[in-house]
Amino acid sequence: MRLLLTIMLVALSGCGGTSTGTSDDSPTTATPSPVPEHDGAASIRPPAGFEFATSQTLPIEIEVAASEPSGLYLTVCRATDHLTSDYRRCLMKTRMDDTQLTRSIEVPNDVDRLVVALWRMQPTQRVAEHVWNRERDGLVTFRVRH
Amino acid sequence: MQILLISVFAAMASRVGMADPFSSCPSQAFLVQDTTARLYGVNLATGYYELLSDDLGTSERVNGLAFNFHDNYLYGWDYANGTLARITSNYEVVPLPILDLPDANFYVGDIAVHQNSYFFYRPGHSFGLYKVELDRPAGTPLRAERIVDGSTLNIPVFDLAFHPTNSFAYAVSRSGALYEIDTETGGATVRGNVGVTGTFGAAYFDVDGYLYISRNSDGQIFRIDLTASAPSAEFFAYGPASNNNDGARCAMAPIIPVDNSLIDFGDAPDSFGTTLSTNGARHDLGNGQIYLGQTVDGESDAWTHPLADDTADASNDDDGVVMVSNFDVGRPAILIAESSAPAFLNAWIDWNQSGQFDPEEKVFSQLYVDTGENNLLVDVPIWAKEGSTWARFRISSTPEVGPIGGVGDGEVEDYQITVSSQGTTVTSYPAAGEWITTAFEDNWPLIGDFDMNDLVVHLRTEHIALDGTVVGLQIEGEVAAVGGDYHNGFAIRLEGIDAASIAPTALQFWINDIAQTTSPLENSSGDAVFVVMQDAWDYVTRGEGCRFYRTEAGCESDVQMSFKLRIAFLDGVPESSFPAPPFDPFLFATPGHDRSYVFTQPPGRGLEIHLPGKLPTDRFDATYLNLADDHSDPANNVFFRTDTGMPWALQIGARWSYPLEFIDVDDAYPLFEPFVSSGGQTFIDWYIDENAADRSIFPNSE
Repeated sequence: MRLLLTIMLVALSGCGGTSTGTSDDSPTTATPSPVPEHDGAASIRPPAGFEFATSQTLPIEIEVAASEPSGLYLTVCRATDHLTSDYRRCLMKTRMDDTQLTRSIEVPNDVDRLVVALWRMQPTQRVAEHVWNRERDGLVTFRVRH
Repeated sequence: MQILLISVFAAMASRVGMADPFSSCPSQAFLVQDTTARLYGVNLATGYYELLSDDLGTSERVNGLAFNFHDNYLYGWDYANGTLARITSNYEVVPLPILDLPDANFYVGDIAVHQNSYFFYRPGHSFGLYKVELDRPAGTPLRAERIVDGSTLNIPVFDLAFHPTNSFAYAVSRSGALYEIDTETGGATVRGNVGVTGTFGAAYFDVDGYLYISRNSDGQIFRIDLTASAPSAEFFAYGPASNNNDGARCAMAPIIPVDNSLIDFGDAPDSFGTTLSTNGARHDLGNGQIYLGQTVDGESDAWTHPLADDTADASNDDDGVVMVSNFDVGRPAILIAESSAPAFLNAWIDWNQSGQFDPEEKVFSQLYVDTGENNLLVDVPIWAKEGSTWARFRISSTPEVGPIGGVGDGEVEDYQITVSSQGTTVTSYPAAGEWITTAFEDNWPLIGDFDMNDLVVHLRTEHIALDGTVVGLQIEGEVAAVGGDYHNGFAIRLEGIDAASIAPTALQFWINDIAQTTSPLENSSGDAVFVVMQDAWDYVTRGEGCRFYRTEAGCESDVQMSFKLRIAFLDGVPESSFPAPPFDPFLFATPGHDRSYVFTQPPGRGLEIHLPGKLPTDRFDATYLNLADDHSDPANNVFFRTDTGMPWALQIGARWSYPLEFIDVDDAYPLFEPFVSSGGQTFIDWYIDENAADRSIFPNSE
C-alpha cells in the first residue's frame, strides 16, 4: 500500500486533484500537474513548533492625565504616506472612559507604522497623534502618555 | 407698403439659412432670460446651467422659446421685430417674415413634435392661440393662423411644451393647474393640480413623456409624470432663477444621454432615492470645483448597492468623509469631511433603518465647510437602531438641498455605517478595509505542488466589545482563487466558543450581498462552526480559456464570491477568552465528490485542512491522519504537516498575491525559505509583492 501511494504521489502531485462528482458544471478531468524540477517548499524544514505566523502581537498602553476632560476617543490606525492616521484602515476604535487603557493588537509583518490618535469631542479636535515605528519601537509595549 | 413689406421680408429671408442648425436633438435644455436676451444651456437633471450667449444680436427680449425637432433650429418670439425668429447654432436671432401676425408680442410658444408648426398664445379677446406652419413650400410666405381667440382659450400660463408622442401641449398655471391643450381645436382640459405654485416660465418634455417646469422665483425644476391618474409635481433639481424666463428643449431627447459621464450619483440602495428613475441624488460635474475628498466621477445613472460602481471597479470616489469614531447610540460621533472648496454640506443618516432618509434624520443642514479637512460631530440619537445602515453626504454651492434630486455642482457620497450600543470598542483585523489571506493546498494527505492556490480566501474580521465583553463579530471574506479540480468547502470555527452561545435569530449571512436564508451555523454544540460554502466551484467560474479561477496569467477576472457573517453572542464572551482572529478558517472536502487517489469513498466533511497550529474539528475523520504524506502527531497537537513539517495551509497578513498555477511558493517568493527555516526570525515580510520573483504571482494586492 505504501508503495502504491508513493507511485501515485510521483504521478499525481500537482494542483488539486480530480473529481468524479455529481455536479454537472464541475470539472470532470484532472490532468496531473508538472512535477517541480526541484524540491521547493516540500524540502523546507521549519523549526519544531513554528506556526508560520505573518503577524505579531503589539501591546499598547495609553495613559491620559487625570486633568484631561472626560470623553477622549482613541483610535489605532494604519498610517498614511504622510504619517498621519488613516481612519479608513483602523485596527481599534474606542472611547476612553478611564485614564488608562491597555490592549494587545495583531500587526501584520508588513505593517511598519501605526498611528495612535486621541480626540476630544467638544470641541471636536484631535489632541494627540503618536506614531508607532516598527524599526524604532519594536514589539515591546507601546506607551502613550497624554 | 406692400412693396416695403416684401422688401423687408426679402431682407429677412436672405439671412435665413446663412447659419447652421444645431447638429442634433440635444439633451441639453435652452433657457432664455433677461430683457436683453441671454441664452443659457441647462441640464434639467441637475439644474446645472452655463451661458451660451449674451449677444443674440437683439437688444430686447426673446420669449416663447422652442426647439424644432424637424429642422434642429431654435425658435423664439423676437420682441425687437415683433415676429417669430429662428436662432441658429451660433446663437444668432434671425427674424422670420410672417404674414397675418397680430400686432403684439407673445411669451408663450412651442413647436409641435407631430407637425412642423410653431404655436404661440396670449390670453385676451384680441389674441389667442396661433399657428405658423414652418414647412411651407419654397417661395411661399409663412403665415399666422389663429386657432382660437384668447377669450375662449383663457388660461393663465407662461409657457407650454409639446408632448413627444401624443400631440397635446401642456402648461402649468401660477396656481398649479395642469392644462392639456389640443392645439388643433384650441380646446383645453384641466388634468388637475400638480401641487406647486408660482410662475412657471419654462416648460420642457423628455422623450419618456415627463413634463418639466421651472419656477422663476427660485429656479426649482419639477418633474410631472403625466401617466399618473392625478399627476403631481415632484422636486427634481435646483436650476437658475429669473424674473423673465422661457425654456425649450428637444422633446425627443432623453434627459440624460447614455454616454453622459458628467453627473455624479450616489450608490445607496434605491429605496433612498439613488437612480434617476427614483429622482436620486445627483450632482453636475460641469463646474468641477466642489467635491468631497480627492476625486469625483460621473455616470449616466446610478449603480446602486450591491452593484455600486465604487465597489465594482477600482475607481472609488467616495473618499471625502471619514468616520473617525464608532456610531454609539446616544453618544456623539466624530467625522472628518474633506472639501475641495468652501461649500455647504447637507447630510442624512438612516437611524431607524427604514430605507429612506427622513427629515428628522438630517444630521447636517446648510453646514458651511472650508477647503480641506473639517472636523465634525454627529449626535447619534438615543432612538437610533443598532446595526448596519446608510449615510448620505451632499456638498454643493447650494446651501439647502434635500436627500434626493439634482444639484448643479458638488458631489454626493453614500456610506454604509454601523450603529452600535454605547461605549463599544471595535477591533478590526488586520484593519478596517484591509484583508488577510488563507491559502490552501488541497491534495492532503498527498503533497501537492505548493503553489498554495487550490483555494484562496481573503478574510477580515471586526469584533465589538462592551465593557470587556465581546458582544458581536463580523467576518467578511472573498474567494480569491480556486486553483484545483477538487471540490472544496470552506468554513470558520470559533475556537472555544460554544455554538449554543450564538444568538440564532441575530445571525446574519450574506453571499455577494444577498441575504441567505439558510443558517451557516453547523454545530448545535461544541465549538461554533460556520460553513461559508459547501463547494467553491458552485460560486465561481473559470475565465474563457482558463483551467481554473484566478490562478493563471490572462485569467484575471473579478472576484466572483464574497460573503459576510454577522454574529451576536447571547451572553457575550469575555475579551480575555475570545479567540484570536481570523479564528480557525479551514477547508473541507465537499460531500459526494471523489478524491480517489487516496480515498476509496468520497471523504466529504470528514476531510479537513487547517492552518498550522489549528486542530481538526469534531467532524474530522481521524482515520485519515498519517495517510500518504501526512505526518500528523495528534499526541502533540500537530496536524496536517509533511515529514519535514510543512503545512498544507498558510495564513498571510495581507491581500496576498499568491503564486501562479504550478509555481512553487518557494520559487515565487525566494524569501519564504529563509523565513521558514529561521522560524520567522528573518524576512518577515517575505510575502509582499516586492519580494516576489518576476512573472510568478497572481496580482492581488491593492
